[in-house]
Amino acid sequence: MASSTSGSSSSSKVVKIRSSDNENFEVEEAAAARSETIKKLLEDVGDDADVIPLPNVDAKTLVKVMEWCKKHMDDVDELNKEEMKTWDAEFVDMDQSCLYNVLLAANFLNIKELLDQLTQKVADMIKGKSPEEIRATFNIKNDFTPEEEAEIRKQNAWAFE
Amino acid sequence: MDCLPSISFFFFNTLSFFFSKTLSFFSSQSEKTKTSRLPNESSIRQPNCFQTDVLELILQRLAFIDIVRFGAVCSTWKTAVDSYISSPTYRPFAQAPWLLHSCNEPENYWRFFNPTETKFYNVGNCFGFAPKSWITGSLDDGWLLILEETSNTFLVNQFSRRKIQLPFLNTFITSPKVPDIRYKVVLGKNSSVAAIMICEGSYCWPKNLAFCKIGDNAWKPTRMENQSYLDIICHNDEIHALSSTGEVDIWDFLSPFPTKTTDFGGFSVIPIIVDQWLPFVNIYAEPASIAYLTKSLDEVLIVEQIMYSDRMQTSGFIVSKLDYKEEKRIPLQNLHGRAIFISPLSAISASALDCPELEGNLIYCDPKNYLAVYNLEEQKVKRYEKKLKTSNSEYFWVFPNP
Repeated sequence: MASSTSGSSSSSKVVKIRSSDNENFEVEEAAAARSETIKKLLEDVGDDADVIPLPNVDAKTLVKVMEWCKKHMDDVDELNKEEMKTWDAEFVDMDQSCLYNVLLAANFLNIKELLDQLTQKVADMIKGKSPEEIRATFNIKNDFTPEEEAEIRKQNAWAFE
Repeated sequence: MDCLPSISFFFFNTLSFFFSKTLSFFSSQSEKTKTSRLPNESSIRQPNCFQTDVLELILQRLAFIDIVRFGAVCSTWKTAVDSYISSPTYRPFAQAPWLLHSCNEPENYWRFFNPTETKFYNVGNCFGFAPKSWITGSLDDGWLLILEETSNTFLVNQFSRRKIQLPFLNTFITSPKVPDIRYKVVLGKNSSVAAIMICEGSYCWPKNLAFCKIGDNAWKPTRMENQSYLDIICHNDEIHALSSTGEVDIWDFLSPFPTKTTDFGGFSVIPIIVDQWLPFVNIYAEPASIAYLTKSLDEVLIVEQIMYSDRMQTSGFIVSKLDYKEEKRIPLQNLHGRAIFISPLSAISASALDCPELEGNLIYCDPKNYLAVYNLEEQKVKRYEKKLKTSNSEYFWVFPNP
């Protein structure tokens, strides 16, 4: 197959992908190829590709990820940069469990720019928070023993004032 | 501990400077290509099981204080923090430096001030110091230079609780006059260290630059005689050394002679620029200046602090960028979003592009009474940090990094 270099002049070729819960999606190749993982799979299987299975991403998450890929399919010109920034900021503003799933999917699908945006969002949610607040935000269980936790805090007491 | 009685910081025509590990201000994302590595089912379901590589991507975007808190969340996150901080690829996240404000001896903590939060942090001291020891300088990444009466010198970092022993100062010069001796140390890669003895007024050390490797017993002075350096910095693992005649020599660590010398035309330009830019009130007082080298956004800057010799008060700054190709100093009328932090013998720079909470174009200096914040564009002190009353002249800026 002609190598899948995407661009604004894309001939809107469509590829099929399947989520872990067996839903099929048709996506423009230029959008799907934002994912290095999918791009590589497409190159490997060539035109024989029937449907690309993505066993680690459920349908709900895949819809979200592909929404981002579609938006970022073409190069953004200067004029639209601001608009895109706003769109991206709204995109990553999702609830914690959704953010978590999309982040894992972006990592698995190897979409670097999306991964950057999501990890930045998580970092922003962590900044300036105490460990208790971070646990509450991300629904994380404290698995330290009281002694371990006391020791950790003692070592860097200044960071917990 | 008689830690840090102040050294007197009167510098005329003295340049100080600062060191540095290469701080990568521009985030270094992991470039590794991922092939089809599949996360297992359980890791998808458990909210605290961000994969290790994802946790690392998050950690790359956090300041050290947030990393410490991150490590107190759960054991998985703590493991990620430990492996991230100890990894050779670890580059501290760009942030504003903190000011070492004072050392509380009875309670044994060092008090730091974060200018972006206008907040103090009391960092517990975990070192024992000889009865007569002094803080004599700061490197950028959390390191402070300690001198003992015996001329023993070492670096300490209270954030990582690490200590680096350096050769005794009397292996560099004979009978150093402790604690009045003024010298500066910078770190390079691969355990390389450089030091200069700061020349004062007409007095100059016969050899004022020396190198060592961490673990060495003695400093190795260079073979350059009678070169008087005012300040040194480490930039791209080379030493840039500013001489009192306005040349900048570039040195490889441990080499006997400089690899390159660039003449930037001396300091004779100062009075002209000063007349142009600075509204001198007292025309009878001679302006004196202290020059610092600093690196910022991959440029090397000379920062000159102009003072009236009669009042020892800062009246302004001149900042110029060094263009090594054209051998020119290019005066800057604004810092393009950067801020500069002046400590005794060193100036460090941070960019508001990297840390949005930091206000750019400002120079933080001279906390004789209150920390002064100088606006280069307007050529005047913009404000004093009222929260930061200082009672003595110990003030060192460091990035709070391990």
